[in-house]
Amino acid sequence: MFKSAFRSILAAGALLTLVGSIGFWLAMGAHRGWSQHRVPVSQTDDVTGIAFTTYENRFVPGIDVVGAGVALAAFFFALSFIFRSPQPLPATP
Amino acid sequence: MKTSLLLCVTSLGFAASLAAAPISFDFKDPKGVNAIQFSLDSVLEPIAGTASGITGTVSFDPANPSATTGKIIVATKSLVVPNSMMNGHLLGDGWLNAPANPEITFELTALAGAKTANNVTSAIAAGKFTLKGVTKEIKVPVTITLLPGAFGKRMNKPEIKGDLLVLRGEFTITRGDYGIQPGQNEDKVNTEIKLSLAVVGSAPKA
Repeated sequence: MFKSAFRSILAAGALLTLVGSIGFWLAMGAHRGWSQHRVPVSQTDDVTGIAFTTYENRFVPGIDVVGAGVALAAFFFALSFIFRSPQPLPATP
Repeated sequence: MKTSLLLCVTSLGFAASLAAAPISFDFKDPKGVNAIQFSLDSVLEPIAGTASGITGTVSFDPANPSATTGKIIVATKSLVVPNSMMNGHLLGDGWLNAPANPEITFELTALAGAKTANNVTSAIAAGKFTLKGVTKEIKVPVTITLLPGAFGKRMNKPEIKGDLLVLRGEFTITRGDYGIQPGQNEDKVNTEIKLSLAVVGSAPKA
């Protein structure tokens, strides 16, 4: 009974982690590069015409966040198999 | 009469020499715009960043651009990429080792093939480029734009007189040539680093 419940919790955790990480990535802009801890913003100096970059201090999750989420979900899912309920033996004639 | 003529010619010559005197431009930008952009291909996406700690001076003579001399200095620790972990690697021992190599410099030794039109000079800048303690002679195609009297306008203080000098150039280096992970991780991070320079120097007049 306990094993079955724990298995369900792990499986649900795996699903939540997978959906959560992908959802977080999508909601934050679905950046297909590495995560950014500061975001470059291009600007132009009016008088000289020089294009320069400033940075906004905000986090943009990248594909590495999705990868970590998928890996963690896979780990939880694999762990759930340890807590499988014993299967009933097939009936013998 | 003869004395007056001689005095007049001497005065004109002196005035001409003053007008043609080289102007020294300070590249520590009061508006903090100056930066060198760099990028190198890597797995997933190019690693691109900026180096904003620019200082140095360039002496430019509008009447003789070929005589331009100067030095641009970049503070190594000012290199920034968007990912903090990559930033740590970039400034760390394996890459630039910023504490041991605090400056990246370019010292202009010659300006060849200078052609000027409408205050814009195109030329090949030859000089000594120093990165991670390794100095090499390089040649960089540059454009030098003189903006006479634009200093005050840029600083929103039109009453201040002075000129601006904008340097632009692009060049590529091979990281292994400068002892940056030579022969390592070439399948993950390209050996070539593209550098793009767009900086402005100021020469305010008192």
